[in-house]
Amino acid sequence: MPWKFDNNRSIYVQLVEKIQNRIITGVYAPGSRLASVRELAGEAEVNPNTMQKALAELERAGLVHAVRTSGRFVTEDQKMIENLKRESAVEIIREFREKMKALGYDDEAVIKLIKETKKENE
Amino acid sequence: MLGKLMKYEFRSNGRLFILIYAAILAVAFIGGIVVNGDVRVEVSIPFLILCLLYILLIMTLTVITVIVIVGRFYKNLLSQEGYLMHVLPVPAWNHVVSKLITAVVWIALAIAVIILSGLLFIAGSGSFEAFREIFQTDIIRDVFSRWGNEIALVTAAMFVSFARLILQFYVSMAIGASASRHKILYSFLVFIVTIVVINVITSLTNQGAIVQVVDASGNGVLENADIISGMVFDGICAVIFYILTVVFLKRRLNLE
Amino acid sequence: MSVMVKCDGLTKRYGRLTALDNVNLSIESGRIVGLLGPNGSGKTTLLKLANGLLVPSDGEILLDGNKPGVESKRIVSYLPDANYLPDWMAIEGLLELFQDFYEDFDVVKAKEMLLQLNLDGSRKLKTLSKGNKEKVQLILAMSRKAKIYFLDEPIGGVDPAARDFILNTIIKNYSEDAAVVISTHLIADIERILDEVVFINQGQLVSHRIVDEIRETEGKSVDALFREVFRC
Repeated sequence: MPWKFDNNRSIYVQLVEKIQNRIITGVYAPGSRLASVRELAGEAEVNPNTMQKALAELERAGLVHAVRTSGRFVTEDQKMIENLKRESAVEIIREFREKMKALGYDDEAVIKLIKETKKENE
Repeated sequence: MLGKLMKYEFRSNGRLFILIYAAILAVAFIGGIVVNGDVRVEVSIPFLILCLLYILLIMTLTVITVIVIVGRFYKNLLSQEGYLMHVLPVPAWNHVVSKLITAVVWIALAIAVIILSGLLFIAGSGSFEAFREIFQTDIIRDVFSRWGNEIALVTAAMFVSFARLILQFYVSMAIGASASRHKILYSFLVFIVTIVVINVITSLTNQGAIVQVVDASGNGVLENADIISGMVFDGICAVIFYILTVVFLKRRLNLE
Repeated sequence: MSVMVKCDGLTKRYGRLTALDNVNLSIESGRIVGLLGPNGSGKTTLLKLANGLLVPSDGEILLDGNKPGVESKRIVSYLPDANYLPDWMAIEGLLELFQDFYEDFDVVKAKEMLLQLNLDGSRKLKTLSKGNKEKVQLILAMSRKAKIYFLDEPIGGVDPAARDFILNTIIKNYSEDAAVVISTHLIADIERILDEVVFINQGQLVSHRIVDEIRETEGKSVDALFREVFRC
């Protein structure tokens, strides 16, 4: 299944986001080997040059490192991954809070609502 | 590359021709059997039917040979298949020559099959005396040693003529196809023009009349010269048509 | 990076109609380029000129430095927008034909792809559905290790699954030494695999841009930009 993209935004930026997301959610386990550029490009259904650019960007950020002749590997730096996870979570929360605020829920009301829905789901 | 092209040429219509050839030979052979050695016998119904069948098959062979020769060129080089053929890494003349040779071969085979069918008829009729007469006496050798040159010449002239005619079809189609509209009409027109031009030149140069020299030693010499000049003329026409065909295929191709 | 396709003042006239007007274009190897324009814009004329099916009225086009001819045809793989293969031939026969005439044809690869699509080699083309016929045509074109690929509407008229297969095949086939030119009007489906796009209209080159640059500087997809540029 091809990955979903918004054609109005730079694809390589979206690729960086998606791969980063897969790393921090553990889809690509730390230290695991990534598929080749061509395979990834085929799976995502994007231009290999674009995928190459995204992977290079991830290498620059230290999330991925290339081992000559062996391919690319996800970093084993758990701390970096945890940091990114936290950053991602913070961003999600920020967006969430904005949306809830637009609905008229301030922070306390949000927490109260979460507790209520948590009880309902149990 | 030429050989490879010809491989596909023969494949495209081979089965059809083999069927017709086989049918003609079979009918002839069976006809011989029906007659059963006595050619003077009154015509029986089965024999009449076979005769009719034979004639129909020969007519069919003639028509189909023409249709295949003309149709194959058009379909393979001037219609959608042209997108396959003209993109192959072969020079344009390869296409024309491979089809020309194949076409001449189909004609030669048709003639051979007709001759062979005659022999099969005799064979089928079990008339071995006739067979013996033809093959075992010196008749054939005599004929060939006396008229060998003439036979070879006439055969060669005939085939040059065939080639010229085939190329007349090809050049008409190639030029006609380069028109933006009414391609078939243009092809017809070009074809008629080629016929007219050939007839005009033939009567103007009065082929045959040129060689009116009376030779006391025998007519053979005169007739040969006649045939040779005809062959040369056909050859020149063929070459001109060939060159025009290749040029139009290379530079004026206009596939839809 | 070498220039694979070079158009220099390329012009094609039919009588008073100018199908291509002074086109100057360079396409480098390792790129997948979209040739985009409305119907009648000159895309097909350009492709025909590149493949030696038409002769320029003016200017020239070079394929890896070669004029269109026997040499260029050896290194160019063309997928026309038509049912151009002989109907009476079986798939195996076509594999044989491509092997016979194209040195760079990879028959093993072709057979693998046919197997993936469950297309039996002994089947005649005329017995195949339209979609399958197009897949066979694509497989034949992409099984060549060509320097330049010209694909004319490769995903037109096929179902989404086939489209995925086709796009995947193009991606898998990617080589730094080759250039791929895709002429299409179905931009949204294909723009994610393009490096660059060439906009052509009424025989003239309108623009030649890098795709991500369009997205970054204008915040638009190529499809959106196309609609804007070619608004009737």
